[in-house]
Amino acid sequence: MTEVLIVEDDEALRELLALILEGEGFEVATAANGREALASIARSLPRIVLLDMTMPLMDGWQFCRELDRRGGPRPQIVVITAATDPARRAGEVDADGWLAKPFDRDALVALVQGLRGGADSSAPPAR
Amino acid sequence: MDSPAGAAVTLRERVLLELARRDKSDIQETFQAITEAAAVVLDVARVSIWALVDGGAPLDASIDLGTRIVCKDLYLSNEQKHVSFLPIHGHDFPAYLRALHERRTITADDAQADPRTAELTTFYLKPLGISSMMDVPIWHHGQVYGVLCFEHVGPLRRWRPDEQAFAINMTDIASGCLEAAEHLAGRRCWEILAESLSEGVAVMDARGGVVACNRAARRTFIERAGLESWAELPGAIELVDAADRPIPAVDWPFQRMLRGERVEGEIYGVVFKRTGERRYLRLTFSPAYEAGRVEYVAVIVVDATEEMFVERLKRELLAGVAHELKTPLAIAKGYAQQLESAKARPNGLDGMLGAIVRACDRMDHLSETLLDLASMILGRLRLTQERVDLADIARAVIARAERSAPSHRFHVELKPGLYVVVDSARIAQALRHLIENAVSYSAPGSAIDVLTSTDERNVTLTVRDQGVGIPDSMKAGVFTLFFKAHAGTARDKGGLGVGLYLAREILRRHGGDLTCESEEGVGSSFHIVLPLARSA
Repeated sequence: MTEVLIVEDDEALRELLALILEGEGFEVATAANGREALASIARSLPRIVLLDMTMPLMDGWQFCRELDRRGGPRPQIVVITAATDPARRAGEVDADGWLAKPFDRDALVALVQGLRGGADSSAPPAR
Repeated sequence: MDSPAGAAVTLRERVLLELARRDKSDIQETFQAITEAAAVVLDVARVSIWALVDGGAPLDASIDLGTRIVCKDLYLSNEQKHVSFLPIHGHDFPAYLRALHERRTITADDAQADPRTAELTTFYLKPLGISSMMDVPIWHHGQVYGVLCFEHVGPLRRWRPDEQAFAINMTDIASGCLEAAEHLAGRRCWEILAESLSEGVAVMDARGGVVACNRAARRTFIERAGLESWAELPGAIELVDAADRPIPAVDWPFQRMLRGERVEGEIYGVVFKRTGERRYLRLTFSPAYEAGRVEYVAVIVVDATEEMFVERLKRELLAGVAHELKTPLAIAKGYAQQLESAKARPNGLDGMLGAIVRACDRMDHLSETLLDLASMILGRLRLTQERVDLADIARAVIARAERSAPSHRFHVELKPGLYVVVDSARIAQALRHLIENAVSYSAPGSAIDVLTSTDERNVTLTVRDQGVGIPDSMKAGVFTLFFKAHAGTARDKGGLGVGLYLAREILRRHGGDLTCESEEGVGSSFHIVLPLARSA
């Protein structure tokens, strides 16, 4: 079962995120844009989505809107953004956490682990 | 049968009417017409117009003996010609000057005996044989401007009341001429001022008709729209707001101003239907009211197209730079930390190190691009000149491309000895943009050809891919700043959309060019053209 879905258009960054999280024992799936991510979610609902915002074809905002429109259980969303105000970006899509590029490897791991641990309780958003 | 007196009256009336009708904007011409007509009608030997040029003190306060009396025109009946005369000075003729300041007609039937004019005898009257004088003040702005002088030569002449009345009528015409000239000079000043403004200025009436405008306003609207008149303008343009949404005619700034809204420095997009050209104009409407209603509106138009462009540039750059620059940074930092966190030397170390180096290359290329773009926009791009072999530049760029894009096969055919005089770092940068595009828009495993060819003057370096190509409808904009042929489609590869713009700018500044051939679904070829160096 997929635990973390990585949605990132940059292939090198996508591979790095997968490498780190797989190294920490997570089941990881990847998608290059919002559309691929929706298809992936339809196959297997992840607990956590790591979401780049600026992507071709379907960006992070469109992805979240579409996800909400479809209804059903919503995975926890962590926004990965290069914006100068990442917290605001996260607020725009009602995300559960955020990472600013360039992120800290250990912070990424801690954030994802924290969300997985707190997934069953109603823990406040990380960071 | 008309009596001679009756005929004379008719002649005077006709002359006055003729003079009243004529264009009086040229002072000298009008003065000449007045002196000549007056001399003929009243049969006087010499008729002249003199101006009082103030010595300093106000003319009507006390008599300023520093005043000079300057001859503007003198008509000589016998010789039928206009001449001039030396100025005379107030301190030489105080009685005459004082008489002029009485502001009444001086009728000196016996000029050489009359106390007001006697002092002119030796110097002026006697040598010229003048016996009788009639001097009528010319008024301007409630002050004496000068005097219309009738000088009779021969036996003493008695100036009749009807002759005096005619003379006064003639000075009225001179006054009208002074006013017309002054009005014209004032208008001319405003015209010079308006024409010198780079901003467009116009005055509209309450129905939207343009009453007056300067050259900049005409150029901005009429010439750009290819129109004959302002009346055609509303049909020839569309207005859009800053987000490019059309504005309905009822909300055009003129209508809003009529409704009492303020229109001050608002930016409107004006689309010229004929050419499709779009300019952004900053408009200010200043209404002038008469009895509570708009009578005229002064309109100021400032072209803000550049300003909007720079604004957009800033926005795109900020958003684009953040994304483009921080993604490779995230990769480099992430792999480095992944290596750090590893307990032992991990598998795939080479791959991680390679990813770090490639991410750093991306940032390096990007920062160069941004610096070049900034320099170009600020007009501070300075090129060095080195004599180099273009093949050497190309080989270095390709070597780096092979490292960062191992996915593609590079097929390289470079003739050696293609010397050019260029800023080699900039030319390398331009070539990198082309190769980067070729890699981005063609499938992994496909070939990218880099070839050279020459003619007697130029060398052409071609980068050819077998990629997605550029749709015909997009080709015209391919070298435009922020152009992305595949934006928002599955083929969108990100990027800032500045590479081709910069590459062409760089080449053009070397006296070369960058051209493109492309077929959708087949591939694109970009040709760098540079002048060959003269053989050393």
